[in-house]
Formats: sequence, C-alpha cells, structure tokens
Amino acid sequence: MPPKKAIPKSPAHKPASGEPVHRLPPVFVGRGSEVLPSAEENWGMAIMGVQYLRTITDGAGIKLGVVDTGIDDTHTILAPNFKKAKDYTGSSAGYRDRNGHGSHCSGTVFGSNRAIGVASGADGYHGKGLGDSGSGGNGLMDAIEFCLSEGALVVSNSWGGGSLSADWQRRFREWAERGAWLVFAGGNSGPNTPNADNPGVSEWLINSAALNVNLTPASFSSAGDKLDTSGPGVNIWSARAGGGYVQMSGTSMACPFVAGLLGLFRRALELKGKPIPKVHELRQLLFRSSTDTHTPGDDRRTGPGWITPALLAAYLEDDPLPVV
Amino acid sequence: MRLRHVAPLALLLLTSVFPASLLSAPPDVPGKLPAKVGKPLTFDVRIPPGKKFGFAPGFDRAKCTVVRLYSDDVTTASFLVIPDVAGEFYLTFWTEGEVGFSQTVIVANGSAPPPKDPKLPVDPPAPSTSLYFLLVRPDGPSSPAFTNLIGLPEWETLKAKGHKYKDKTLTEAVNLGVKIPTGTTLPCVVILRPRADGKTSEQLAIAPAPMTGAAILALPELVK
Repeated sequence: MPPKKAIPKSPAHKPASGEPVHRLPPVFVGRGSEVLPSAEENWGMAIMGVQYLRTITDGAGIKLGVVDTGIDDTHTILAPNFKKAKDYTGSSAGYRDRNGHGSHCSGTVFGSNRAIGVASGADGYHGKGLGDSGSGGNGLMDAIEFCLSEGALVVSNSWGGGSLSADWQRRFREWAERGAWLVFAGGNSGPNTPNADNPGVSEWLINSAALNVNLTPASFSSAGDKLDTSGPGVNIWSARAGGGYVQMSGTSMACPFVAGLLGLFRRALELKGKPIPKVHELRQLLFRSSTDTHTPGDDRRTGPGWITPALLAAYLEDDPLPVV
Repeated sequence: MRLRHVAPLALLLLTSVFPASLLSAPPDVPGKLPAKVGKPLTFDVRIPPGKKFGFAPGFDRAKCTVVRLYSDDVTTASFLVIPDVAGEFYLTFWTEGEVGFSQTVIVANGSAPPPKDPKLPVDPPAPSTSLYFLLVRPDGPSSPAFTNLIGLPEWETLKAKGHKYKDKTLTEAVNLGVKIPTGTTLPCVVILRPRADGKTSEQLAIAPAPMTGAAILALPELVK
C-alpha cells in the first residue's frame, strides 16, 4: 500500500454571526488494542441486557445515523454496515475521520461486531458536521438532515455545549414531527452544572447521561433537569480510526449506546407491526422503561435511570384483553 | 357363383377400396380431461357418421357420476361427469358392430367439501387454560429489584407453557380495567384469563409479585 500522506487538519469552525457553535464534550481516551475486545469487556452490552432486544432483531432492515467528526469507512467493524457519509465541514479529508471520535461513536451504534455495535445488523450513515478539530455550526443541522433524508430516523449526536437558537428549535420540532428520534450527549461538565448541555435539553430530543460500570453516574456526567435516560459511558470499547480498538469515556459514548438500543427497539416495533411513537411519547416510554439508579425517581444526574431493554421489550408484547 | 357368397365378397371389395379407418373407427374422444372433485365437467364425443356407438364406465358409478346429455345432433354426443372422489376414471367408447375402442380418462383432484348440516349443534369454545400474569409496579422508572425480577428466566418457562406475562405501571394497569384495591403493596401480580368470547379477560387473583424463579413457576397454582 502507498504510504499515507499526512492530511492537514481543518481549522476550528469559524462561526457566522449568530450561528450556534457546538463541539465535542471532553472525551477521555483509555487503552487501545489491535485485538477485538470481548463482549464481557465491553460491559454495557452485558449489564444493560441488550439481548432482550437482540432476540427479536440485530437491527437488520433499519438505517441509523451518526453526526460527528467523520468515519473511518475502511475499519473492520465499520465497513460492513457503512452505507453513506457526507461532509458538511469543508474538510480536506471529506467525510473521513481525522479526529477519532466519530469512528468510535459509529462503532457503538452500528459496528458489525456484536461485542462493539449495539445494532450490529443495521445500515450505517454518517453526517460529518464536526470538523477535524471537533467543532461545528449550522453544518451540524445539514448533517442531521442528510441522515434523515437517507431514511435514518434514529440519529446519534455526541456534541453540544453551544447555544440553542429558535431556528434550531424549529428544525428539531419539524424533525420530531416527521418521526425522527435524535439522541444527544448530556455533556461532560460534572455534577455541579445548572443544566445539561444544549441542544439535548430541547423537548424534541433525547438527552443521555453517562454511567459507570456499577451503574452510578459517571463523575464527569453533567447534571440537569432534562435528562431522559442514561447509558454506559466509562471505558467503552469501540473502533479506533485507522484500525484497532480503543476505550473512550464520556457522555459521547453513552449517547450512541442509547441510540443503538433505540434503533433496535424501533426496528422491533416495525417487525411486530406496532406503531412507532413520536419523540414525546418515546420520552414518556423511556421514563417508565429505565431502571432507577442514583437517587430514587427522576434525578438530576441520571434522569429516570438506565435505559433497560427488558422493560422496552414489554412494549413489544400484546396487552391482555380488556378486563371487565 | 351362388348368391349367398356375394355379401362376404362385397365386404372384401369394400375394405379394399375404402380406408380401414372409416370402416372400423371408434368414436373420436378426448384423451385426458382434468376435473375437480365435486365440480361438473362436460365433454363431447364425435360419432362416426351413420353409426351408433356404445360406451361403458370402467369405475364404480358411486364414485363418479356420468350422464349422457341427449340432443338432436347425431354427430356429437355430450357427456356430463361429476367425480365424487379424487382419482382416474376411464370411459370406454366403441362403434357398434366394429372392432376397436377409444378411451377418455377423467383425472379428478381435490377433495369434497364437508357436508353442511344446519341441524348439527355448535360446540361452545373450550375455556382457555392459558393465563396472563400482569406484573404491576409503581408509576415511573423501575426499581432495580423489579428489573431483576422481570429478567428471571422462569418467565420464559411459563411462556413456553402457553402463558403470557408483561409488566405495567399502576396507571397503565388501571387503564386496562385491572382492579387494584387501595393499599395493595406494589409490585404485585394480577392473574388474568382470557374469556371464551375472545374479547375480554377476567381477573382471577392478585398476589404479591414473585421474587424468585420458583415463585414464578408456582404462579399458575394460585388459581387452580
């Protein structure tokens, strides 16, 4: 193979006047490995009970999207399910991932290996709305629209921290009314924040906190009034751009896990002929289908608790006949 | 030459002049005809001009009805057959006074429809023996203990025996019509049974939620 040339990273996003600027929450990079980790090492799969949904579907037949820093579409576990990507940052690398964050998140959503990818059978789409340095503006909205227009109605967005404009709120509402489920990372600013990151606090979006392996809130996970659920966010194995695997920690890792689970759930609903809830109903469903952790009830660190596939699966079963 | 020897000689001359087929041709019949049990089928037989023909069914006429449909047409004979069972039914045809025969085989498929007897009583549907175990918990997120409970494999054992189970919050259960007396400790299990009408359930019992696999397997015993 010819030697790879160093591709200069694109400069940080320079926003137009009034344009919201969002970026990656600080992510903690851990161990790397050339060898695929086992499902037991990737603790979220085992503890969360992903198998309750995988008995029905592995995601085959559904399209899932990720909006992030790009994707290494040649990676062993990304290539099989990868379908299409598009760059909205003007990067010289196009949609390819020069940061690493996007490949890791994509791997958790639709990586083809069940130890890494929650929806390991799904078709994967990636909208590069974050530049190689990890920031982005209105291109993030275009990247979401790209995923939705390709038919990926569940989209993982591990970014935030900027403002939430009225225009963005309007677009989130429109997408929600089209049936889209947009999942966001709650932020990594710790337990003393007044609120979780924008835009995830929007009523039209699903906002996710991060948990440790003992299902307590991760120390970095932002606090806030609007957290819809929590997912595994500490030492999560996934694809490393360029090859191999790497652990990362952050609500950035919890978000794609939740998105992957919701992708499985949505596909299971389709297969069972059940109606697909819009996002407001989905948020209520997540409220009763999460397992309480941290403080009882809906709390500012984990929301209603950790997303629980066994409780989501109950919605796939028929109700009993009316009792009279 | 005496006169009594003329007829055989004339026949010999005739057979040498005319083609043999005109003199000894059996009726022209279709070879194989597909049919359906219980459905009528008609077909025609071409009769040699000026000839009479005979036919015989090669089967038990209780299994297949065959009737000749008479008309003024002397060149064609029409038949109606109605097979009562599946099988092959041969009909043999010949021209009277001549050697040789032709055959039609009716190939019947399918099965006869069941007899309709409005006088037969309709049995009421058998009461269902399958149960529906509704696990009712407080509104809101699940407790870790309840999540562990719903994940026990013994539920699948009950499901394999034909029962069903599902978890509901208190509000969801009440909306289904379930009666939860005030003061009932949650979580609890409400045991339902589908009625014979196939449209409603009857509530048989309420019990504390089983917290072990053995207690789950013992649930059907609560309503015996």
